[in-house]
Amino acid sequence: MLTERELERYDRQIRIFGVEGQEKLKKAKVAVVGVGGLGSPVAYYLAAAGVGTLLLIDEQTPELSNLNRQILHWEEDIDKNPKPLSAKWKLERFNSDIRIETFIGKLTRENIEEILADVDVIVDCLDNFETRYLLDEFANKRGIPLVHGAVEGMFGQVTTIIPGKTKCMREIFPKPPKKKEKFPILGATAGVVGTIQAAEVIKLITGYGEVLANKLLIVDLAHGSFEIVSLG
Amino acid sequence: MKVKFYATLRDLTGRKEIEISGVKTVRELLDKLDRMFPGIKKELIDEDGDVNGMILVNGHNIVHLKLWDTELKEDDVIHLFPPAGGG
Repeated sequence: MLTERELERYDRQIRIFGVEGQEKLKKAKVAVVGVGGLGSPVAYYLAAAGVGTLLLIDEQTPELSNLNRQILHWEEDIDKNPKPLSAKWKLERFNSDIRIETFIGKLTRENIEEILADVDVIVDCLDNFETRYLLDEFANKRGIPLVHGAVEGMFGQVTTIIPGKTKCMREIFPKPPKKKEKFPILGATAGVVGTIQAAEVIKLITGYGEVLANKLLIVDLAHGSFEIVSLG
Repeated sequence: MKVKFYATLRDLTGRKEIEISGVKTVRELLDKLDRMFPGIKKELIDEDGDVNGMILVNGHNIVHLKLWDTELKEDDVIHLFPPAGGG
């Protein structure tokens, strides 16, 4: 049941999803894996939308060069507050009705079952494909939808993986790109791609609209283009 | 066939898409593209000789087809993407 305060807070989106949709959001638990450039807007907008429980996962602590894009981390967090805690502090002050859980560390084959035990949706905001493949395997095994996003420079991509219905990540991206220690990235690119990922999560939970299932959205801000490639 | 370029490959080619004919495989296509746009092969093939980024033929990754020997028809659509792995 939504409280009077929640009915008012979410009024403008209840006009899209209905009270029932908002209740689904409240009951949902979403794992945001990687709380950096993509994870910041994803967690921010999911908190804004009233997703009941967010699980933030990251092993890093913010560095100065992260701040051009990782908008949940501020100067005061540099070299001090691990990313999940830095984000939790802001999100709890932004929306006190939701619950923020954190895991500071890396997901591994050994711990993934326990950490992601009860999540409804997983959001891939990672910066490496090794952990992405691990998430992909877990999501497939457990039948949990996985929203993939990746960015570089002024372009990026989004697709939603639904086990049993769409191709899995390893089928779409069979070989990881070489991991670069330092890659070019504009904050606005991560903002656009992450915000689209957040919208995918909200559609998955509420059942509204249609998600990017077997569709790869390519966002190219340098050339002002959004294109969808069918993967079916 | 239609070849569509994305992101940094648009910078390299100066084009969003082109029509190409007279190539029978992905290997021949890349050779032809590299003559038109020198350096594009280097962007799409890594040092191990594997695909870097994505090469899709009608939405199917060539890694799941016959890789460089994947046959092409005149009405195919080929999408070429540079890799994006950051978050």
